[in-house]
Amino acid sequence: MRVVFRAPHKKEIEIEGEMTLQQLAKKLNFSLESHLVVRNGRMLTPDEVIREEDVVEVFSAVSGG
Amino acid sequence: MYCRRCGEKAEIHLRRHRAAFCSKCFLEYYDRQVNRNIRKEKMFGFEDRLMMVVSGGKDSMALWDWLLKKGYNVTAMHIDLGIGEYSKDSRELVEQFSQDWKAELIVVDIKQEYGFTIPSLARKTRRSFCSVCGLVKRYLFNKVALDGEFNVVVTGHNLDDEAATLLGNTLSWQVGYLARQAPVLPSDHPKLKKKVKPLFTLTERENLAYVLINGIEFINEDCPYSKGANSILYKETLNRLEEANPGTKQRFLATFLRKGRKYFQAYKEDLKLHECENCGQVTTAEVCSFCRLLKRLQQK
Repeated sequence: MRVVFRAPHKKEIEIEGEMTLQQLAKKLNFSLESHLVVRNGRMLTPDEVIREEDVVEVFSAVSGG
Repeated sequence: MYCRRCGEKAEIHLRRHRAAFCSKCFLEYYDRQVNRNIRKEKMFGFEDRLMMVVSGGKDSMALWDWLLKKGYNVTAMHIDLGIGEYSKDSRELVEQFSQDWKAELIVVDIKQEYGFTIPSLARKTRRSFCSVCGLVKRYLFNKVALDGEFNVVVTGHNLDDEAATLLGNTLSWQVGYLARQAPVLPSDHPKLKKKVKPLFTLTERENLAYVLINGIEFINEDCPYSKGANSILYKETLNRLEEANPGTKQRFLATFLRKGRKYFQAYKEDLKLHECENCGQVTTAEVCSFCRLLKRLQQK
């Protein structure tokens, strides 16, 4: 799967295999309390399975200054 | 997960409410929250002329969109702070939204208006970026609202902003600030506008969901000068507490407003407000801090 982080720094990561969003967040060390993950324009709940061929976008909700 | 209200496939899980919603039911939840805040805190009505401060970030874009859809008499106000690409992108985005919606927008370009940018002002006066930026914004919020004869200044402050501010003020026992923190700041002077925060019970994540569901463009990057800001550290800390105990942020703020705030009222400074002898804006000194800053800039 391809994981695209939108902010604060745009970066892309390729991950092998399939897993739930909860597992993905744990693996990549981001909090689902402060991020939303979108696949094909729809937000995902933590139990959703992300498959090998999926592209997901991770949006951080924390803004400040 | 399935939507708590309609049973359809859910798109967002709100642990603090032990609920998941589909996008349609989430928007209804969002609607109820904002409507309740406006009504319960007596923020404003349809007869009021609202000036909504819009930065281009998700919170202010969500609220601007919401107020327009509900038919409030709202004019957006955007400040071009002159912070490189960040300000340029923010301004373009806000102007585009205003065009698409045929929505009223006032843009204050501080370089054009006053001859400085936030970075140049901070460097020349040797003050921190955040401190001069805050000062300039507060000054302009009130000045533009006063000049435009608006009744109420509306901002997109959310639950995370308010809880982080509360944490910061508590850590250093800023009793004067704790006495004043509230979702509605009433007008204490005929030339000071009432300020309200209709999103104070909604998290940043919920505002992000609102803009994503509605396909609203927003600036998805932080101000380059906010790196390392305490407010971000406080938000991250609160989010870690929230992960361990869902509802922590909401409880922290709501119980403070309901039970804690009253104990600090004795520390509310009894400020003698008068008009700045230079610009006429309300201040506690003879010359307001904005005019003093400009004077320092001219002396450099």
